[in-house]
Amino acid sequence: MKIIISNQSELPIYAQIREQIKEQILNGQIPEGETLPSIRQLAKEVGVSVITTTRAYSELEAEGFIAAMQGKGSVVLPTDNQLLREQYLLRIEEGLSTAIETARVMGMPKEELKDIFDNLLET
Amino acid sequence: MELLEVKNLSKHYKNFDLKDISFSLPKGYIMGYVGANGSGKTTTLNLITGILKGTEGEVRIDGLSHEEDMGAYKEKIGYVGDESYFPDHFKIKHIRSILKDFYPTFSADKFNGFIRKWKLPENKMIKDFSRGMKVMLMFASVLARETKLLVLDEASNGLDPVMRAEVLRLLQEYVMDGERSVIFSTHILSDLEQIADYIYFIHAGRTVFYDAKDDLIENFLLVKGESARIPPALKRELIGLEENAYGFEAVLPSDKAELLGNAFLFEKPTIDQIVIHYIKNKDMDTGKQE
Amino acid sequence: MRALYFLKIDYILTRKQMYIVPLFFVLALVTGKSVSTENMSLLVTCSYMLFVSTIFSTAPFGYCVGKNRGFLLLFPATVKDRVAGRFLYGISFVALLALLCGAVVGVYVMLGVEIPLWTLGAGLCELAVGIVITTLEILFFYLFGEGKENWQYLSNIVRVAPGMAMFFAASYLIDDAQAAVSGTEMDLEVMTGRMMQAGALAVAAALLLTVAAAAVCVKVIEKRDYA
Repeated sequence: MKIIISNQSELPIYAQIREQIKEQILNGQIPEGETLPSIRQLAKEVGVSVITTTRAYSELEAEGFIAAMQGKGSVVLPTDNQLLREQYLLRIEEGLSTAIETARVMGMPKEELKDIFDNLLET
Repeated sequence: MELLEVKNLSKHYKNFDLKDISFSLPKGYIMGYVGANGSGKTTTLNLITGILKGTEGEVRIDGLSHEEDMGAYKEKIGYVGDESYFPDHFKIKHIRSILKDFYPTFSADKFNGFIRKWKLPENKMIKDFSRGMKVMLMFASVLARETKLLVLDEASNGLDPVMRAEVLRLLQEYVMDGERSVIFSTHILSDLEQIADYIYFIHAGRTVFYDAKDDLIENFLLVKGESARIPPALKRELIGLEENAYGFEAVLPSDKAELLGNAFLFEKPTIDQIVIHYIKNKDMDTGKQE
Repeated sequence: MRALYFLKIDYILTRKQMYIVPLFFVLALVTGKSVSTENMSLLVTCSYMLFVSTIFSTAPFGYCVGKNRGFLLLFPATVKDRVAGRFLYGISFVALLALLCGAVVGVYVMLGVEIPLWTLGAGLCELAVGIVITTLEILFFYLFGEGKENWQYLSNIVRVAPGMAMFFAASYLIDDAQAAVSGTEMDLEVMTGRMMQAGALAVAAALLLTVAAAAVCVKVIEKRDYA
């Protein structure tokens, strides 16, 4: 597991941790069934507060990526296709939204934007 | 479960009052006690260690108060100050022998381990130690015995970056088992900010805020922009407005973000920035009253 | 028990002055030799030793000021323990030098100098005075100056003046005593008995005073901050 904290990032530290763990679960770097380091262990390794790592873990739990097992710590859950699909969908939407927002700001017509999209798809 | 409970702690001096300090720190967490010089940080910590007597209020460590069992209470505390509190003419062997006398849980092996690890000179008198060595010797003396609470008064001031990193590691290791806690005072947060779970901010002997650090950072925005464009509704909410020829900087509670519109730049503040603007705000308030 | 730990701390604090103590022993031996033609003058030597002891017996106050005291305040011990340790230091130091006095006398006895027994009683009286002076000095330091920095100058006067006064007074009184003894018609045995009695009583009274002074210090200091 790799976690790199940036103080320059606009993302709060707990969110940076959450996102990086999520990323590694989704791309298989952290396999299903693997036990994550304890909240306190992680806080010490990364050099952040316990409350910060607690929050990162509880959000990962809420999103269904990990589960706290009694006496075993936090275990990575199987990323079934549905969850995976949802996550990817979310990212695609995010990326496209940024593009659309930019197009609106400069007043680009819908058709022109679609052309760009089609062109990019074919390259 | 709370490790340190402070209730309505007050200390009256001729020209300074510490008033109604209250907080509780749960087991396994680190708290930063933050304030400007002279705001009452050291007074509070000395009241916690019991070497000062409060005018009012109560302190409990692990459920025990100083009055109930002074010996047991003091044994729970490990204190590291901003200056060496060892007699100048002592050598390490003297300190080792005396700690062994007074503290049943003192481990000479652990102590010697720290001495070797941090290369503290066995044959020099404490007064000839460097500042960093003095601080590390204090850490060695408290970490070599069983304690519940570390009380650090500006302990990392004047340490070089390598030693500061070592201190951070030590503190995080200390709270690792979830049973012990740390309270440290400081007037500059810098690297200590990262590991603090809670921040208590004191100004002129009074509480300003006490909250989980992550919540604090989330609850405030650092706002920058052109002074001329601040609408009155926004101006009322800005904390510690600081203006110069080119613009202004202030802190704003996040729930007032809608007042900003698109005209201003805002970003995630550091605890230091929140503190600085709060102090500025307080000083402006007292200025108005006078 | 913790009082003894504090006593130990005081001895470590002042360990340097322990190196000088044997020097005083030698000095006492040498000066004793030069005046021992009149055997009572050994008392002068002894009162000199006690004078030295009253200076040294409050030394820990000078070594442990300001921030240096933090270590002691943080211990899980009561004010009573700490004060008792400090008084024990003072008294034990006076006792130590009294023993050295005894050793000096012993050396002279072995060298064949005749020393009248009644001087032992007078010596006990001097010891009592030494204990009283040390007690009052410690009391003074606790009540007015414990832990204060920038206090060195006054504290030196307080430490030296009473002992010095005692030393001169003793030298003066010894001359008187000598005259009185040679002029008296009292039986030497009776007088020796009385002197011994007076000496023992004086030492006992002095020690009682020490205990009382220590109790006063504890009462006063317990209310203080940084205590």
